Amino acid sequence: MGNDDLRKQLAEQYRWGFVTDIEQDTAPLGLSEDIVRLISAKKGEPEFMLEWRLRAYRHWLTLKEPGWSTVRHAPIDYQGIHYYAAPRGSAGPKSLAEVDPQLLATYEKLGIPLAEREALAGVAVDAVFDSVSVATTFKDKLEKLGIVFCSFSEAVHKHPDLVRQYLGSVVPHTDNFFASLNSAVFSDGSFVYVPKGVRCPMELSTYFRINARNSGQFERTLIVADEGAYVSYLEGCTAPMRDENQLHAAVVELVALKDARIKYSTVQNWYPGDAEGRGGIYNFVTKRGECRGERAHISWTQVETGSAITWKYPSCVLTGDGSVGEFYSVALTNNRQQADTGTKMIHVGRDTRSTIVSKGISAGRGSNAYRGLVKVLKGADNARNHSQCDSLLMGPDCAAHTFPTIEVKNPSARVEHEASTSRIGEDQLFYLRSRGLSEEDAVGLIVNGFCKEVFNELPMEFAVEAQKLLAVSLEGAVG
Amino acid sequence: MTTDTLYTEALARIASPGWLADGRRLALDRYLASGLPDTRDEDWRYTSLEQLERQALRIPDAGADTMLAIEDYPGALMAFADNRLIWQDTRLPTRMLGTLEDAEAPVRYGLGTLSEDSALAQLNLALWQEGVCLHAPAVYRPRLPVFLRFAAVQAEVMLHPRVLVVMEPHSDAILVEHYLADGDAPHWQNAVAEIFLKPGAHLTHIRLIEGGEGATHTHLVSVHQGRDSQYRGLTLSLGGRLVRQDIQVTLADEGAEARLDGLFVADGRRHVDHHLRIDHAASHTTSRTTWRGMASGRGRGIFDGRVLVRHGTLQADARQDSRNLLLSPHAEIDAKPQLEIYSDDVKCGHGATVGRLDEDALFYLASRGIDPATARDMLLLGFADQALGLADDAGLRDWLQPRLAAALPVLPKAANTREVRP
Repeated sequence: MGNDDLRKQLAEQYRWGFVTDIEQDTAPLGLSEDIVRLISAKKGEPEFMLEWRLRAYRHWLTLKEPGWSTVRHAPIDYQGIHYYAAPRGSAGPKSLAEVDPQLLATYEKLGIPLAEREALAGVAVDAVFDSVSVATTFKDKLEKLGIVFCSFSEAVHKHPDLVRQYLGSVVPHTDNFFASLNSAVFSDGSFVYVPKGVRCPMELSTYFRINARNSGQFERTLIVADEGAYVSYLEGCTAPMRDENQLHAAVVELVALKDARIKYSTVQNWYPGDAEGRGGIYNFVTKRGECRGERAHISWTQVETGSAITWKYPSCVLTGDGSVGEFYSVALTNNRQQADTGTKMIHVGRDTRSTIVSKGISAGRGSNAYRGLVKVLKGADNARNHSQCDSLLMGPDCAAHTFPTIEVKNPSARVEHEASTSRIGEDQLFYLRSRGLSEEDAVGLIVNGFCKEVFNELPMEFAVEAQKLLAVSLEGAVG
Repeated sequence: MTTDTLYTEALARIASPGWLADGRRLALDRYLASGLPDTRDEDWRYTSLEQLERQALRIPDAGADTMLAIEDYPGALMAFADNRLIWQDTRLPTRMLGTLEDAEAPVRYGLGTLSEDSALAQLNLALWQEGVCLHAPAVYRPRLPVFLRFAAVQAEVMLHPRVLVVMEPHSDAILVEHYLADGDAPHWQNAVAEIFLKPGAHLTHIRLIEGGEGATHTHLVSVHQGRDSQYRGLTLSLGGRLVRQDIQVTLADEGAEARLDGLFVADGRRHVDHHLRIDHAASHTTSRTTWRGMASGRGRGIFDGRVLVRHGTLQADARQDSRNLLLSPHAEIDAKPQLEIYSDDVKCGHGATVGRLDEDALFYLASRGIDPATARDMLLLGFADQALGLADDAGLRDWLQPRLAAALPVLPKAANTREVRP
């Protein structure tokens, strides 16, 4: 392989690294009950939200930071973080004209043409700039169908009953260290409710962007698909270049009722840190969906190329009979990036099915782990799972791990797990080069083929972005 | 009385040669510092040894009647009853096969060096008696398989069988360990085998665990392999109330190969847990693991296999398979096949399946006029039989097969028929 190519690749700068200077309305450093109260008060939340936050905060105090994963990082100072930061004038702009022009410029650089949002391939964007939603598009169109798609704070005010009913019902405030922290201090996020029998006519999309220095972002997303509803949700991320690690502990909850279907796609490209592993985002996310009704269907698709550390396990609880859970993942680590990701499929109801396809690519000194659990409970007659976890290694210093766990308590279940780990075959490369392809193109082709099963699951806009991301991240990294 | 004082008193009752006494004391201290593993430890998540705390187990009385009828073994036999040597075949010289207490100096130096991380092995190191040392001189290839028979006879005893195997360069041997119990009285066998394979040495190592309803069987096998050595292990866990097997193989030099086969039957209320660790610490090393499990009744079977490929090793080749049959609605199978890889020049894969008997196969047999019960037995035997490949090579299939057939679970009539729901 070409060492020069590899060096060139390693020196590749993060293309989306820039900082927008906007005055911030920031809470003091650190975390205490007062800060939790402050956040709740700033957002003008009803009493039940404050109580919920405080319960979560008190529970969080009793928890210890988990240390069982393969990821390694410097200790996080939870008292050294601003838990609330809102752009100036957070009362909420009525139209684009009220939006800070600098903000708009940021979106311009990000490639979200808010100004031409109608033309944006039918995608409604609820852009989250740090902690407060700035503009929400396509609202009217969705409203006509009865679909609620708004920021979390707005949902708390406008649809408190829905929030109260579903918030924490999939990821309780006691779930784990980072979920509890999120529950206590979450700033904003997205809320989606699709009523009975409605098929959401467009892909819903949110771009998260971490901007303020030292402001860990604590997003909370809640998506509810009522009986027979369908929704496809896209989540995509880039973040500006920073030297300090930034903590991101989001929570995503999905609820699919009878015959409902939720498709959740993520392309994550946060700042991964430099070649020596300085800086970069810590992405510790709790994502879980519950198929609550019969024949409900939840599908997670993720392409993880960014962040210094990615640590998340989008999971499905298959409670309803005949429900289906899917997990498709591509995780790429380069330089000193670490990823510990995977899924949990909990089969509770009868005739439940789940599919896991996980592709890990490690290059440079990257470390990539698949960690998963497939659990078939006693009552889950005829449960079916197939898992496929493949790892591709590039370079002598990278690492790839596979830690699946299978627990089966029902004899009519069929559970299969397959995994392989290898580098790109010399013969494959040789063949492609003999057909006149450059080494880079050949690797690109092989990697894209390796990930194809996952990319096929992505909505079109994302599939294009994902392929580009992989190509940029892997230029020249031939093993 | 706490188990700690129990173990301390047991140590006081063991008379041993001077070269051992200090090591025993040290090992007991190390054990007491950590105690029995508990379920908070990820490696012991599925298996609790709590019942050992409740049982007041003791070192067996020396004078008690420990004779137990010994069946024929197709090889050279060393038989132990309650940790006392009661029979030794004279066809092999004692410097090759003898008790560990009598082992010669350079050989016995290996004692305890491959099992330092395990608390249970430390307890064994403190409390083992007599023990076995198999020392195959260079280029020595005995044609006779060596059989070690460890029987538990008295009730409420704890036995700590210890085996040390040193295979000098280019030697080749077949070693069979057979663990069994007289009756269903509660007892604990806590065995440790440490195996050194020098360059070019080959060892075929078969272990057959048959214990009664009262048997707790914990077992650590730790293998250290030199250049171009070959270790072939077959583990058959067919009896005992609680069985926990730890198998650790270090492929320490180039060309080393390990093949690990296993079969467990978890029926009744049995709990069978296998933990495998294969460490590819050198380039050009190969490992193959094939584990088969059956759980029926209220049994629980666990397979946890980890393959580690270290940084800087080239051309490691590892394959790991776990095939499991779940035969009853109250049984459970847990499988954790794991790969931990720090090098890119590898070929590693694993597979795990859990399911019931193949309905197409059952249908086919039914269509040939075979009744369902016989058909199920045939399929179970066929499934289990595939694990005996190593026994074939060692010429021991005839000895093992009837034992295997006897241990297969008897299925209730409707065990594999699909329930028809309204």
